Amino acid sequence: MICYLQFAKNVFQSKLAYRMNVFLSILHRIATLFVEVSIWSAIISQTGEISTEMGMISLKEMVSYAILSTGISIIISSNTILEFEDKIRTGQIAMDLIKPMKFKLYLFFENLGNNLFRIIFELIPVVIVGILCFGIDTPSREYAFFFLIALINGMIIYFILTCILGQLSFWLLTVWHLDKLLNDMLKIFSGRFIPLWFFPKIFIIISAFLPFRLIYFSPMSIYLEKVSKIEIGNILIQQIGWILILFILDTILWKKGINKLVVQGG
Amino acid sequence: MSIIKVKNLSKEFHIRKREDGLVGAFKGMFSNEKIIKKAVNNISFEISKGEIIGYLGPNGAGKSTTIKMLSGILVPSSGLVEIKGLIPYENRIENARNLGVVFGQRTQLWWDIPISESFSLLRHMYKIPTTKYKKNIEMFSEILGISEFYNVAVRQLSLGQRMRADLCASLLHNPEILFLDEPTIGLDVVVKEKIRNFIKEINKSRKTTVILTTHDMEDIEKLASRVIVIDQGSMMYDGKLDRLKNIYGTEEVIEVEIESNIKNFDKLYKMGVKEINHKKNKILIKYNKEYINSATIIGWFMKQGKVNDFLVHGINIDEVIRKMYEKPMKNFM
Amino acid sequence: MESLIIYLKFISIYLKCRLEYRIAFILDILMPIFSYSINYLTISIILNRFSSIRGWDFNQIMFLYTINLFSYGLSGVILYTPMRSLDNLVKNGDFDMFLTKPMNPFLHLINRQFEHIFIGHLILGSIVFFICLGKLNITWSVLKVIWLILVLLGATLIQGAFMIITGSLSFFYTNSTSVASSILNSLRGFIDYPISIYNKGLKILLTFVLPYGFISFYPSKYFLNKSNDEIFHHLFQYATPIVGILLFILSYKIWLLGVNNYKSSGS
Repeated sequence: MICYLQFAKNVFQSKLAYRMNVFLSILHRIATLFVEVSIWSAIISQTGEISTEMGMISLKEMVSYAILSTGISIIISSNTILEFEDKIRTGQIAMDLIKPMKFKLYLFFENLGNNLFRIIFELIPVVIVGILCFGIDTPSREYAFFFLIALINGMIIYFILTCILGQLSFWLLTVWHLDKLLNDMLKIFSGRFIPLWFFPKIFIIISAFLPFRLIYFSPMSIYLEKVSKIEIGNILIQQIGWILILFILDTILWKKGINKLVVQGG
Repeated sequence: MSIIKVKNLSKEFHIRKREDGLVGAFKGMFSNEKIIKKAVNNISFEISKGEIIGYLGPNGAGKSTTIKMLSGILVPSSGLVEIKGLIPYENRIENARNLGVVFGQRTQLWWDIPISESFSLLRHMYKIPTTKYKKNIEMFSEILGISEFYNVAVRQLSLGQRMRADLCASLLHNPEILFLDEPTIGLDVVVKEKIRNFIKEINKSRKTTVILTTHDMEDIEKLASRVIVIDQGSMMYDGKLDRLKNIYGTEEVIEVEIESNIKNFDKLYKMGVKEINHKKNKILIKYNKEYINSATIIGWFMKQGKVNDFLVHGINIDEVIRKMYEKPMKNFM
Repeated sequence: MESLIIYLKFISIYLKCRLEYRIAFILDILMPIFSYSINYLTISIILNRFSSIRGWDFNQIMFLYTINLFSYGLSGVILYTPMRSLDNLVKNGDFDMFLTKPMNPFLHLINRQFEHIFIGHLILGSIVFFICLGKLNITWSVLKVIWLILVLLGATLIQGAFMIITGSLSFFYTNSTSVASSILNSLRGFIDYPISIYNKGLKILLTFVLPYGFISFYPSKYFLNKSNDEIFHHLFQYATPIVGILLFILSYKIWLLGVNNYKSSGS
């Protein structure tokens, strides 16, 4: 365990060494937040409140939505797919496999170091700027608790998704296309930029069959208290279901990939 | 008439200070402390046309920094560099026309395209006349055998092939001066030999001046007539290779195989031998050439009994340089 | 002139080599087409729900977006990968090689890497451009067409200038390019929508500090006959080519500073 925590610390430390990057990243996050908030202000100031299937949506709620979704994108962003690709293509993965550690756990902790770094140097500044400039709604304690659980589940779903796509490098020459593809799917089906309640019916139906909304939209709708307790239960069950499905898929792919590596030498 | 002139050349680098640990890393985010490192410290030399110079020194001695200043990549902190009367960093492009540079670890060829196409792009870049270009390609194919992989992309070449291609690329425009930074690193014996012969040939036929940095002492022994040794930025030696060997290389080892068993070596020690190791009938004797020579030692053994075989391990330049790093002797400059 | 011939030769060789792996090549080009189609889709979802943003309807925003996409693609095929690779070149000291050649290192760098992926941007940009031109009731004259071409070139220079500046950062700060370019991408997100939706501070930023507004917003105002309700002068809508040239010169100066820094400090 300490060994894995050390990985997290290493990542954290090596990122600190590039201070220019730290400042630029903060800037980058704040910039995207401003764009989103400005767009929603421009739209909603035309009509005041907007009525949707999930009730009336006010500008303040949309602003909170934008801050939250920026926050989630900070926490979950990772290099896992490209890291897999790099390790598999260069054969580095063989070196990692002979070390006495679980590879996925190692990746996870490396990610954790990254995330901690992002939370301190990106999330906190962005949230502070967001609250100071625009203000944010806060949920009741109960909803906040469920939000956190749903958020963590969403992060796990995202992590396993990236592992699955990254592992496809065992068979494909490059997977950066898939990295882009995942981002595109998230852009449209997760509610990252546009809440699903503004979507045409057909998109809502499609997104119900995909795991992406469980990463952004569902946790945020809990935060904004747009769902009932029963619906919260429903969301959590769906999340756990997806985690199980994806985890099984991931395990199968990993076994087959390693097998291919061992049998055919990569 | 010297083609390269270096006088009191120095180069300092400013390095941002970094501290260990998490706290140190945090501190580093906000501090701007710098350390000054002298990479090259007041060196001077001149090189004439047609010489092959071995430029030696341990890792981090300042070899590459010197080469970079000679090629106009780095601006010196102080001192003078002149190549054919031009100051490299002020006339970088003109200087580059007289220069061929090979960095052993890197390639100047285009990664994804066949080397034939790389060559043709270089031909345009250096404005090489067609006849000269064709003649050169022919000659290179003959000596280095590049025609085998002439239409293969660089990323698919083996290290040896890539190195050969890179060497050709740097000589397409018939440069007067060639800088070779570790040209044989990581190569097998056969390719090494090919490359050495090629450098020798080019030097002979074109009077190309070559500066060669390497850790491979065989490169130096086979190619260089003169060596310059540098350590921690300062010049340690400049002169003939043989002289360097004579100064530092006074210790030799002789290996003797005898039939009878000798127990008592006291006499040999008295004659001035430094160290004796023996396993069964094989004896290793270390001695100083200034006090005793191999003939005397063999003579002594022949008096003791039958000598089956013997082998003198001459001075190894590798060892010489290593010794030099251990105890610098500036007075031999 | 001579360097142009070398460059054209290089591109033809590059494409020839790439086309040996036809499927990968096609996938590479389809990827941005797909990705940006999703962006168009996002905009259409919003405008489907709300019909207009600050008086700009769907086709007008498409027009705006497409100038941005097309100019980005055009400068991307030439500059993106060379500038992105600079980070590694400087870190590993491989940039040395560019300084041992009798050629301007900037041109040499461009001559070593081309990026076919951006052909996708250009294809999609052209298609959407023609679709929304048909829907936009702009009366075209020869002069207007020439002006459109000048605007596109000016916008390309602005995009290119930002690529050069972010690339040149690696001469001063290691590992900065990838972060810098992701910032650039998000800044480019600013002009997916008309900058009239932003507050005063952002408008000033996007006009004078990071003049992204000149890529698509100001010139679109001219083509779409938008009244000038902005805080800035109406002549700004004609400034794109000049801003492009000035910014490009500035970026080249920064590049030169970077090279000089490299020459004095090494890698």
